[in-house]
Amino acid sequence: MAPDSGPCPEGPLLKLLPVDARDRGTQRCRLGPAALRAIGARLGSAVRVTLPGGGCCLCTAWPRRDGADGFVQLDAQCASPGEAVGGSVETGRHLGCLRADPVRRSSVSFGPCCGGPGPPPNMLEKTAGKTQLVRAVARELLAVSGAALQGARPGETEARVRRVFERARELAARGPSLLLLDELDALCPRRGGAHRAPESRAVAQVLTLLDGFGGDSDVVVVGTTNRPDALDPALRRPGRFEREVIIGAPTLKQRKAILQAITAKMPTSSDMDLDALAEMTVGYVGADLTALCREAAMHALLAMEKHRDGPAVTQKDFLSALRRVQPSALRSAIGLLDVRPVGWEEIGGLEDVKLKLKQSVEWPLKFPQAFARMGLTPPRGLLLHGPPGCAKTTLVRALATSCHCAFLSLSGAELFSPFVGDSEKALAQVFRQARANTPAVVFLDEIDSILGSRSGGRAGCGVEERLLSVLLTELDGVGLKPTERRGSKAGPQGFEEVSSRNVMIVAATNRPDMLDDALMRPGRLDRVIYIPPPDQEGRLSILKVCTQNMPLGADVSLEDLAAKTHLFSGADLRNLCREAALLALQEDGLDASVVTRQHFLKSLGTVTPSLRHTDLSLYENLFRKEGPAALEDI
Amino acid sequence: MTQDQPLLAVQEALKKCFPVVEEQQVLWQSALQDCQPLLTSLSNLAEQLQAAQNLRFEDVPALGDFPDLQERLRRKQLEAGDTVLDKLEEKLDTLLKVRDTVSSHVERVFQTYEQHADAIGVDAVLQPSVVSPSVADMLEWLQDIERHYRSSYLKRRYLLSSIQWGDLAGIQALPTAWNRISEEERQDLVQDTLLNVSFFLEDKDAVPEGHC
Repeated sequence: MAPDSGPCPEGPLLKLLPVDARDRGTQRCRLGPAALRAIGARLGSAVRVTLPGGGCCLCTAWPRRDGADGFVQLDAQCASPGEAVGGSVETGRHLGCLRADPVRRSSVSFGPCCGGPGPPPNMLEKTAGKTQLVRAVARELLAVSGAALQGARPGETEARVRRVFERARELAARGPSLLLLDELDALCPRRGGAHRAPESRAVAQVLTLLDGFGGDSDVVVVGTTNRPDALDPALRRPGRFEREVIIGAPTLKQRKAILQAITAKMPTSSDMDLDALAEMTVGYVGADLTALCREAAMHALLAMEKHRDGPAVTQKDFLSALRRVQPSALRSAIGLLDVRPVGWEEIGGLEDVKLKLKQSVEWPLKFPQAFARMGLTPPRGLLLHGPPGCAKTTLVRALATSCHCAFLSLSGAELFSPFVGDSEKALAQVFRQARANTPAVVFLDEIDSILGSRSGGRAGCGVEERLLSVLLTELDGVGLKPTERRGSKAGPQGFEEVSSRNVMIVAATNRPDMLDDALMRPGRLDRVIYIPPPDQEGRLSILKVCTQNMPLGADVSLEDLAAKTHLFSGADLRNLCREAALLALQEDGLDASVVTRQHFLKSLGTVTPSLRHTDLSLYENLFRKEGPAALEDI
Repeated sequence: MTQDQPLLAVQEALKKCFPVVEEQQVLWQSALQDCQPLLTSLSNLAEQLQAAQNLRFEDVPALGDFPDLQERLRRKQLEAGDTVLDKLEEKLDTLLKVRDTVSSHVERVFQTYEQHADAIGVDAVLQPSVVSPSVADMLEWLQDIERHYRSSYLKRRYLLSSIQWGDLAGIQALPTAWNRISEEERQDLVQDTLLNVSFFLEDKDAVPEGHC
C-alpha cells in the first residue's frame, strides 16, 4: 500500500500503514507516543482518524510496540463505508442480506398460522390428542413437561423456566418456533394459600416471561392441560394465553378419521367396517382407540399362531377387543354396573308396558334418524311407578340389556356421604360421565328415597332437597360446560351427534305421590309409565316363566292358578311357585320329582298377596290426578 | 513517591485480575474437555439416525409385524439427542460464566486505569521494568484475552445453535467443526500472557524499579 497521509485536525500528518496481523479485528489503531501525547489520548480511548480519501475511521488508540512516531496503523474494515476498500463494503451488504432473509421468510410462513401481523397468540388446550396435535404443526418445537421443570431447591424452577424460554427465543431466531408446555397445571397452579409460595413464584416467572415476548418474536407458547380450572386465572387472558382451544372427546367423524389413521399401517382384512366401529366407540378418546387397535392386533397375532395364515386384523378381532377396552372416561365411574342380561321374554305379561319402554328408550337410541325425520325429540326421562314387586327393576334390566349402551345405576348408598355437598357432586359426576359416554341410561331406583320433595311443605334445606335441585338442573339445565364439549369446534354439531347426545334418565318408584311436581313436567321425566299389577293373562304368563324349570304335575292348571291369584304381584307369584316346590320336597321327601296341584293349592293358603285394594286405588287415583295427557298415554 | 501512587493503583488492580484469569482458564479448559465426548456421542447418534433412515424397513420381513418401529426408533434417538444437547447447553453455560467473570474483572482494571490515566501520563504507562512488562502491554493483553473468550464462546454457541436434526451430515461433522474453532483461535494466548506476567505477579514489592 502506498504510504498516504491524511489531514488530522488536532494531530500531525501520519503515514498510514496496513494493520498488524495481531491486531486484526480489534479496532485498535497503533500510534506513536508523540501522537498519543499530542492528541491527549489515553490507552483505549476512541480516536477519529481522517483518511486520505475524505472518509474517516473510528478506532481505539494504542501505542505502537516499537514506540516509533510518525506512523498510524489501522484496520481498513473500521473505515466508514463508501470511503474505504470496496471489498469490505460489499461483504457488509452481503451480511445484511443474510441477516434479513430468514426473518422475511419466517414471517411469510407464519402469516396464515396466526392470522395476521402482531404477536402470535398463545393457546391453551385440553384433552384428547393435544400433544400430538401440537407436535404436528411445529417447525421448531421445544416441548417440555410442566413437571420436568420443577426443581427441588428454591429458585431452581424459575431458573429452569427462564432457560426454556431463552432457548425458545434462540430457536425463534432461525424460524418460527413453538414452545409446548405440557401439563401446564403442574407448573402454574392457582396461586394463593399458605404454603404455596414456591409455586406462586414459578407462576409469576411464567407470567413475566410470557409478557416479555414482544410483538416481533416468532415464538408461540402452547400450554396443554386437562384441568383448565386449576390454572392460575392470570394466565388466561389476552397477551398471555390468548386463545383457548378445547379439544373434546372425538365425534363420530373424528373417531373414524382417527381409526383410519391408526389402521392405515395395520394389515387389515377387507371385511373391516370402520364406520360401524366408529359408531360403536362412543366416548372413546384417541388413546382409547389406539389401545383398541393394539388389542385387536394382539388378538389377530394370537389367532395367527393357531391358524398359520397371513397376518390380517379382522372385524372380529376388533369386536373382541372392544369388549376388553373400556373408554377411559368410564374408569373410576360411579354407578357403572355389569347387568346380568335379561331378555324381554323373561318378563311375563306387561306387553303394552314393554312396547312403551321400547318406544321411548330403545327406538331413539337405535333409530335416531327416524326420530329426526319425524321431527321428534326423544324423551329426556322416564318414570316407572307402580305397586312393589311388579317387575319395575327387572324391566329396566331388560332395557339395559336390549339397548347396548352405557348403563349407570345410582342408589342412595353411593350418593349419601357425611360431607356437605358430596352427594350433589357425586350426582353431577354421574351425569357428566353419562354425557361423556352417550348414549347412556341413568337409572335411579327408589327415586323417592333419594330425592326429597319441595312441595311437601317442609323447608328445603336437607340433602334430599339439594339433590333434587341438582337433578332438575342436570335434566333440563341451561347448557353444558364448555369442557364437556364434543369435538374441537363450537357451533352446531353434526346430525349424527345431536341425535345420540342425550342421556336418558329412568327412574323407578312405588311412592309417586312423594315426588316433587317439578320433576314430573315434560322435558324432565316426561313419560310416566304406570306398571299395574298383573291381570289374569299377565299372571298366567308370569307363572309360565316362573315354572319353566319346574317339573309340574299333569293336574296343574296354570290358567286356574292365574284366576285364583287376584291381587298377586309378580314377586308374589314367584314366591308362590317357590313355596309349592318346597312343599313338594317337604312332603314327598328329597327325591320328589313333580310339583302337583295339591302343593300349589296348599301354599296358596299360606302365601297372601302383598297388594291391597286400598293401595291400588291410591295408585290409580294419583295417576288420574296427574293429568289427562299422561292418562291417555298409559 | 506520590506521583507513583496512581500507577501503583493500576498495577494493584492488574495483580488482582491476572490470578482470576488464571483460575477461569482452568475452568474453561475443563468445560471444553467435557464437551468433547458429548459431541462424539452426538455425532454417533446422527450416524445411527442416518443408518436407520437408509434402512428400508418394509424390505426386512422380520420387522413387518412392527409397523411403526421406524418412528419409535427415530423418536428414541431424537430424545437421546436432546438429552446430549441439554448437557452441552450446561457446558456452554459454564463457558458463558467464565466469559462474564473475566469480562467484569478486566472492565474493573480498565476503570481503575481510566480514573488515574491523566495522573499517570503516557510515558509511565509505556515504561516496562525488569520484572514487569509495561502497563500498556498488560492492558492490551487483558483486552486480547477478554476478546478471545468472547469470540470463542460466540463461535461455539453459534455452532451448537445451528444444529438441525434435518442435517445429519452436519451433526456428524460436529466434533471436527468444534476442533476447528479451537485450532483457529490462539490456544496458548492466555498461557503465554500469564507466563509474561509471572514475574510481575510474584513481585511483592509493587514499585517498578525501572521507573524510579
